[in-house]
This record gives sequence, structure tokens and C-alpha cells, in this order.
Amino acid sequence: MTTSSLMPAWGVDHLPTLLAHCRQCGTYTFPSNAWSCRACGADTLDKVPMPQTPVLRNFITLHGDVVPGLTPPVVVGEVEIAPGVVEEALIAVDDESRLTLDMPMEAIGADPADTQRGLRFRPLEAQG
Amino acid sequence: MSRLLQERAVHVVGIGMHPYQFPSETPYVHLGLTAIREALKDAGLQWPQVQAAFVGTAAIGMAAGRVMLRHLGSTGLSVTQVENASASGSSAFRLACQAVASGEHEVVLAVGVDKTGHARRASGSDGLSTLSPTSNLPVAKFALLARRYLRDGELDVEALARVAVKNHGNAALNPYAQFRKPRTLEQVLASPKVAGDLTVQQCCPRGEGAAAVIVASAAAMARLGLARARSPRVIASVSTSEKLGRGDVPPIVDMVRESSLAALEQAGIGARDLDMVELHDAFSIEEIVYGEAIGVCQTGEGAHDLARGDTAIGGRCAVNASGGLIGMGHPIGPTGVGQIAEITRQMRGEATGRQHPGTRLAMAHMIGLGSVAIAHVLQKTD
Ligand SMILES: [Zn+2]
Repeated sequence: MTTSSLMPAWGVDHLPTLLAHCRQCGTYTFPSNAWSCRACGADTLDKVPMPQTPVLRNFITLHGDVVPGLTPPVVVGEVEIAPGVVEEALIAVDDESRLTLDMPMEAIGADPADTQRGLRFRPLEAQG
Repeated sequence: MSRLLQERAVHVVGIGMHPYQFPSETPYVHLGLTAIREALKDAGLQWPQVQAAFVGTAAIGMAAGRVMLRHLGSTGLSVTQVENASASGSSAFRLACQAVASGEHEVVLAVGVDKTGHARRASGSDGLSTLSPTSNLPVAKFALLARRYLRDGELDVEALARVAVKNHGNAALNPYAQFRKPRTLEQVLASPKVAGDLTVQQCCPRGEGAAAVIVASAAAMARLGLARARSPRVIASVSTSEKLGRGDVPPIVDMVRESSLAALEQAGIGARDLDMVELHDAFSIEEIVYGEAIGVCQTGEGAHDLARGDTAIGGRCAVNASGGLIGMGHPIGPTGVGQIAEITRQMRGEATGRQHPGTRLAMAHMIGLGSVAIAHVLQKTD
């Protein structure tokens, strides 16, 4: 179960087992504790890390106070975390003007003080 | 269902509404009874003549139907509550049509009624966590879709805002609408931003209300002396749900395309034969992409067609002449039934002030969270 309505349970410590990979058809499913493969319904799944560098496919800024506890403005992106798996994710930038389509991303913790709960993504070049 | 409606004609013989409105203390029973009594009067029927009722609601609670309907008289009719998110009313209408088309009943009520505030979504109880707290938030999903559409079509934000200008304008002419004020392009664009390029006037409001539709078989119409010319025929009914995405087409858009195509095939017509469409414009972008998916507009041409007035009342195909979800409102349970009421009113030529001339073929298309799609095609009866 989600531990908080604000921040999902996924943290950087979950990155090695973020996705499920289907032994039957090879499809990736998020999250890795999904009940079965989203393509074929098989429950023979292996927990695997992201098989690729995540890529930013789209992004917007949330301006309204639409999620309790999430203080706008917040940048939300669609990040491809595996072939065919594009998930909405919080993007750790102050301003969407720093982002470009199809840029490589990296997963980071919710904030510097808390890497155990919540994943956000930031442009890969921001590393270090 | 695919041949049932061709084999046994189902007609909409009565329509009634309680205006959509902002949340109030009014009990849902009053909202629902107002719409049902208006539909009975409109059809010229008495309550004991109704053999079954399907009650579309998402937020009132368990067993809302009989609690409300007993005030019309405890006739012993079949009562079924239907919850299918935003498509609850459309699903109630579909079941009412099936009940008549199957031959089980001859006169059936579909009523949508809802209040805000008590709905709980199952998506938060599936035992799985998302990456983002916005993942089940429609406004974020559709703001992302809008951004993609504008970027791919090299369009500016005015393209989206024109949907709201048209639909607020239509709603201003609809006495059952929640919003009754026309809005200018400048006003729509200047209203507070919610997500991405979507401003608050491009998003449907929260609200409550009721809509009722009575359907009957041709045999019952003849026996009861109901006027054929006032009673459009339902010539297609389709229900689908989302498949996995393929390529760059968002799964929800694919779902709209496939469900509407199936409905058009069942009706034996093409999208260009439609004079009117009522569809799920909870957010402005939806009207543009669904209009294209249904085939009212060519792919990539939705915003241009809108700007040219092709989808306005009096245009080639009026989209959301009622004001749509943005202007008329989206009380959830009633919304899909209200679409059928609007189409019926238009086919009768009784949509005073917002009449789309010559409406003979129309589609009602609704989406429910999840996502599911329900499509109906109605044909004017001579
Ligand atoms: Zn599989």
C-alpha cells in the first residue's frame, strides 16, 4: 500500500527492483510488485532495475493546488523508464525551461534529506 | 448488442433534467425526482408504466435507487444501480436500451443523479504505488496530452482555449447548464492556470444534478400512443475499455477511436454523417483529440475546424451543443444521460436558442476513469 498520499513508497533503495520483467513475453511492467504482466497476464515476473537510462518524453508544470500536500508549482514529466513503460514522475527542477524533450534523466530521492521514500527524476547532466 | 438494436427498435420517448449546479444541501432524492417527473411528463407516461430503472451514480452511496424511486410509488419495478465512473449515466442508458432490445421490458428508465464529495476511487486501493502523486490525477494527464498535441501541431494555447469559449457560449444558452455566462478568449486564457496550458475555465466544474431518459419499444409506443416524431431511435450502443498503448497514440485516444468506430459500424454510417456529437470534454484538449478520434475532424485538424466554426452550433457537426462538461457541467452520474437528453431535444427541434439545424444523426460518447468508453448513436425518427 502507498504509505503516503503525497509521496509514493518508491525510493532510491528500490531502484534495483523497480520493474517487473515477464518471463513469458518479455514485457516490462511498473511497479515490480504488480499482480501480473500488463501485456499477457502471466505472474511469472522477475524484479529488475530500469533496463535503460530513463528518458523525458513530455513535461508540464502543475500550477494549481490539486494534490493535497504537494505545493505548486511542481514540474511533472512523462519518463520512459523501460521500453514501452512511460510513467508520470516528479521532475526535480525549479523551472521547466531547463528541460528538453527526450533528454536523459536520472532517478534521485525525494529530497537530499530523504532518499528512502519517493523517487524524482532530474536531467542526467545535473549529476554531481 | 450489435444486432439487437437493429432487430428490435429502441426509442427515447421522454427526457427530463434537474439543472446541473454547484454543490448544495439539496438532497439527491429531490434532484432525481425532478428529472424523472419531467421525463414522465415529457413522454406522457405514468410511473406504473415504467417496468425497470437503471440508476447511474458514482458518489451518493449504496442502493440509492429505491430510496429515491419509492417516492414515485412502490410499483415493484426492477431497480439496478450502475457505477462506471464518469460513464455511470451512459452505462445506465445502455442497460436500459438492452433491457428493451432484449425484449425483457418495454418501457425502461435510465436516470443519472449525483452529489459531490462521497466518491472513493479504487485506483488508490490496488495495493500498488505510483511514481508520482499525480499519476491518477486527470488534470495532469490531460495537461500532458495537451502539451503534446500543441507541440506536434505547432499550435498555440488559443487552440485549446477556443474549446472553452465555444462550450461556455453554448452553455449560456442552456437552461440546465451549471455555467450560464459566455466567456471570451481573453477571459479563458486569463483565468488561473491549473496544469500546463489548461486554465480553470478549460476544466469542468464540480457539481450535482440529475438527468432522466425513458426508452421504449416500438410496440409499446404504438400501444401507448407515443409520438414517433419526438422519439429518436437508438441505432448503436458500444462499451469498451482501454488497451495497452501502441506507439505514440495515447491508449485513451485509441479507445475513443475504436469505440466510436464500432458504434458507427453498428449504426451503418460514417463519422461524416454525424450532425452532432456530445463528448467527454472534462478538459478542453479532450474535445479536440476525441473529435479527431471519432472522425468528426481529420487527424490534426481538430483545432483548425474548431477555429473555423465547423464544430459550433450551425457548423458541419455541432460538438457539445449542450455546453459539454466544461460549460453544462459534469455531475458524473447524470452526465451521460444528459447527453442523450440534449441530442433528443435537438432532434425534436426543441433546443430553443441553441438549436443545431437539421440534426438527424448524433453520437453520445462518454469516458469513465480507468478508462472505459461508452458510445451511442441516435437517429431522428420521421
Ligand atoms: Zn507477459
